[in-house]
Amino acid sequence: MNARIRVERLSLDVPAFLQQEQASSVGWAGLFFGAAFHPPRRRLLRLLDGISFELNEGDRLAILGRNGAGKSTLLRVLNRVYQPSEGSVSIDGSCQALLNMSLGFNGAATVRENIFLRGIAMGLRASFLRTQVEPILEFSGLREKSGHRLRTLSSGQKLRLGFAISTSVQHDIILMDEWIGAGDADFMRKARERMKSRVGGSKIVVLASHSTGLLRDICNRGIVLERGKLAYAGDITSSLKHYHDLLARLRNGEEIEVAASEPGGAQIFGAVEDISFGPGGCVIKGWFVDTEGVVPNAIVLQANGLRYAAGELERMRRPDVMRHFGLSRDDCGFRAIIDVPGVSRASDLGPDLQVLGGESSESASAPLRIAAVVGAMLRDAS
Amino acid sequence: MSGGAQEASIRSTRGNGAPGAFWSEIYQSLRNPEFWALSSWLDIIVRARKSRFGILWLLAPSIVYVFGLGTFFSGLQQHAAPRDFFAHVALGAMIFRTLMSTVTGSATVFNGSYSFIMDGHVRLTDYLLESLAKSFFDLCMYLPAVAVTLVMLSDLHGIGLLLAIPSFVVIYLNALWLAAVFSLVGARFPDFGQLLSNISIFLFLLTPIIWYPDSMPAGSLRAQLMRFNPFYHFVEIFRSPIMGEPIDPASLWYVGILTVVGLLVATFAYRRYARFVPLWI
Repeated sequence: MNARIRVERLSLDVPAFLQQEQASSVGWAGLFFGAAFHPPRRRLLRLLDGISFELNEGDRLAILGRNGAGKSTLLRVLNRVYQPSEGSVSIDGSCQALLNMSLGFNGAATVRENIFLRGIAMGLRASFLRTQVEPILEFSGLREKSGHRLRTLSSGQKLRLGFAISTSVQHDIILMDEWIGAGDADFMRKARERMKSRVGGSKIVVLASHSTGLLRDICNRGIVLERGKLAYAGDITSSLKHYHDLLARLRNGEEIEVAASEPGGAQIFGAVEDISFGPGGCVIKGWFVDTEGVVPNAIVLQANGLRYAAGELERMRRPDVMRHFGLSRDDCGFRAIIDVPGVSRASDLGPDLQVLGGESSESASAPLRIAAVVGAMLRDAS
Repeated sequence: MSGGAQEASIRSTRGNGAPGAFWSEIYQSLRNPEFWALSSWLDIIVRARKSRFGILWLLAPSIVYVFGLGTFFSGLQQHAAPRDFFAHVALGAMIFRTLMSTVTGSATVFNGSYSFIMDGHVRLTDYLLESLAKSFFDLCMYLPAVAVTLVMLSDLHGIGLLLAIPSFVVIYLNALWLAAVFSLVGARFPDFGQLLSNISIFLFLLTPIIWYPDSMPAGSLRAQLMRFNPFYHFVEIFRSPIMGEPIDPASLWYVGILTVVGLLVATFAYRRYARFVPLWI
């Protein structure tokens, strides 16, 4: 079965209980009595608003956003805990959430009994668990503690146990709220290896985190949430950029209004790495791809206010780009030959040169980044 | 480990739809009893583990109720043989205790299972069956005391013991809807569990367990209050045949209607509200 997550126009309303706002002039007595006798008011809060995206096998999605933007809530909806108020969520494939791993134990029961309890709650069969108890005890380093009551363990040991149980089986989909890091150096090393293999072995990973380096290492796609709305969706690099822009704008005190974005409409990005001149005209080399991993079909060169469609467009293999963005195909490179009349040198193209990518020559409108070397060449010449 | 063996060992504990199909989820939970059986059993034995006497302690309440209260109050009853009064108390207390522990247990079961629900184990009927399993265990703890009182009973009706089996099934059907309804109410209003434990002693005294129903003057306000109390009827249909007393047809009607209406209410309430439980707790 193919693993897949499809979220369509998801909204989630949550009842929240608010205490009456008090004037700050109220004295101590007022504060005490107010806390005791003002009944909370019930209000519906919209935590997620009109979110749509689709994940297929091989996708590693980063959820970006400020604290309280709805990242954990979205993970809980994906984990089927919260039911959407509007819209729909459909998930194919077995799914494991690594959200709160040191919870969900019975403190007075023994470590061994808790392994069964948690394992069965995760949906493992008792017969299968019996073979797993020893590896789990081994991994968490709690073998000699197996008969101890759970509450006598330290919090680090509990987390190790929770981690060992939660990651004991490979699932199709992993949902994670922050990367797990706990325990002593030795356990950290083991945990990191285990996580790498679980993430590598799973078909879809959804990770909410603030750690840019980690997200860049693991994920190939990203979404940015802001106040429960989808502010941006794209590949990981552009998502991180958008997220940092958002933070910068917030620092400047700007109010961010997120327009409800239409699903679909993947964005095209790429780079121009070389421009030379051959017999057929101007030869442009580079790569481009859209945010859903599809390679677009057309290249247009825009110079001196005029558009020139590519006369010849050849696909090139670019395994380096594929690896960097975690794409599923490597034919995202291109070599386009464009006949620009009257131009035989790079300098003639002018510094305001743009190379646009798109589905067809008519609609191509996404400017590709001009590599520094090419930019320098254009500038130097002029 | 091969991938195939792993896939076979993972069961889905979540559907793709919202929880709400009461009967099919009950069926699923009964088919896969491992989680609720283990978690209720752990809850029970860890209670016993804290003490030296272990599981014997759990028998103590039944002994205190049946023989302590029985001895004390048998002196206040004029007409019946004192020996028979113990069976009257034991059977009544057993049924009352089972139903009451279902109600109080299920009112807190979702809050108590917060971390499992938040972890994605959202087939909520598992938690209902967990609270039913715990109440069944409470019932079992009464069985030794009940057995002793039945031996003491001057006139044990064997046919009544057979009739107790269908009564027991009816009582557990009622426990099922009680658990479903009260667990939802308890999840929405967290103080509900506390309210229940407060009124449980009142309900115990209102139910003819340590007194005989015919000591109430017929037609009086107190007799009407007694008849209004559903626990009275559940106790009555279970206890009377064993004691060789006739069952009031009104009790049968009352219980029958309550069972049907209760199960319908549970089905609709579960369909309507189960999806909100994770938000409430």
